[in-house]
Amino acid sequence: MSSVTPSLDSSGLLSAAEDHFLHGHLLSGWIVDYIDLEESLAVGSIAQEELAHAATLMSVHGLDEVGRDVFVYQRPAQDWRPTRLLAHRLHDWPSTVVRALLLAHAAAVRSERMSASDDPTIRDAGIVLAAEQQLHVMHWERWVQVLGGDARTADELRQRAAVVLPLGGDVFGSASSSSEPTPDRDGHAAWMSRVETVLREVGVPVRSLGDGPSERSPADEQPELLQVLAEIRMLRVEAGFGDGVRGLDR
Amino acid sequence: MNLEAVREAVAHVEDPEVPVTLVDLGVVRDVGLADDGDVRVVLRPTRLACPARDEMARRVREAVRSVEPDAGVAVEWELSTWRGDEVSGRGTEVLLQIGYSDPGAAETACPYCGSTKVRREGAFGGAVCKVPFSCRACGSTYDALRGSRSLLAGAPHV
Ligand SMILES: [Zn+2]
Repeated sequence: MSSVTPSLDSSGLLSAAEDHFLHGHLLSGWIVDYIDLEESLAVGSIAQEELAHAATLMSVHGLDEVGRDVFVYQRPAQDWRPTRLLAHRLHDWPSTVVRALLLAHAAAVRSERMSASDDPTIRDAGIVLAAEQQLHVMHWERWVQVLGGDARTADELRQRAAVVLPLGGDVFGSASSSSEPTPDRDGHAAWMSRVETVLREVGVPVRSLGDGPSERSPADEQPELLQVLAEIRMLRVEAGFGDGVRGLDR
Repeated sequence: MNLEAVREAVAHVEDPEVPVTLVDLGVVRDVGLADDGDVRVVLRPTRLACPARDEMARRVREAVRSVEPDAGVAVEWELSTWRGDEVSGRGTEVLLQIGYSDPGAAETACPYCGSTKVRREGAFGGAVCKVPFSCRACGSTYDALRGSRSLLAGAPHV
């Protein structure tokens, strides 16, 4: 069996795919625990697109149907190094909104940079991903404005954001276990400036994201993440081979 | 290999959800022969997460094999953004009949009464490729396809 680890991923595509996949999985819980019917449709669509974007990034990296399957369902759990934002379930809506805003802006920054690549496959994927993520960015910005602009929810949004933001310092951090990790300082700075524009409006400081990206931690140091991964794999086994992420991008 | 017959067969493949062919929808981008002699069909998804992709690919393979039973078929998904203004006139006619707005129109209008006094009812509909609208003139609800010209960046009503 081929082994795929993030250390092989010089371009960060697989590391981004991990984030999209886990976000899609965690967000999908809100389809049934929803705010209103319209929001149920929205998180359903966004979660579905996060899974498709994960599959697209894996394909661009060169993983075929089987490779994508192995990457998600058979790779050792300790090889996963998603951002710490996704190592926690986050059980309330304001935290979920803040996390989604941070991830949508990160995906937008990343895909826009991909769209400037010399590699035509990376470039084409970047253009489509950037266009599709724009819808997610708009959706989560609107929620931040709604929650932050209403006296009944603004305090809670700020309290929750103060807990969530420190988890996001590693979004542009190196996922590599190689000897010379290369944190993406430019990506971090571009991302921080975009989220600051939105969060400052509702009184949320972004200092806790850090001056530069922090390094990502392996999943085996994060018990709740291990639990989530076990849950994903359990579902996969029960669904049987031929389903799951492999079915999204054939 | 009769490539013209293959193209003709692929031209009859309908979308799994709307009774419009994939060619008229602008989903089929190319039908040709690959270097290894396989039939190569290039498709463009309306949205990367379109859940009908597998079924579209299955129908295309089936259509090719209906005229060339022994042909290898490679279905490739293009990485590009689907555009509603590439839907054919015939495709647009059917979409209007079944309650979708004209995907190529600069401004979204009610497919039932033609009024442009419409309201977008949120950014997400019953599928990733649909945006829900309601008409203030006749009270109908309808969907616009997300890649519709009137919904692309820079258009009004975004
Ligand atoms: Zn009307």
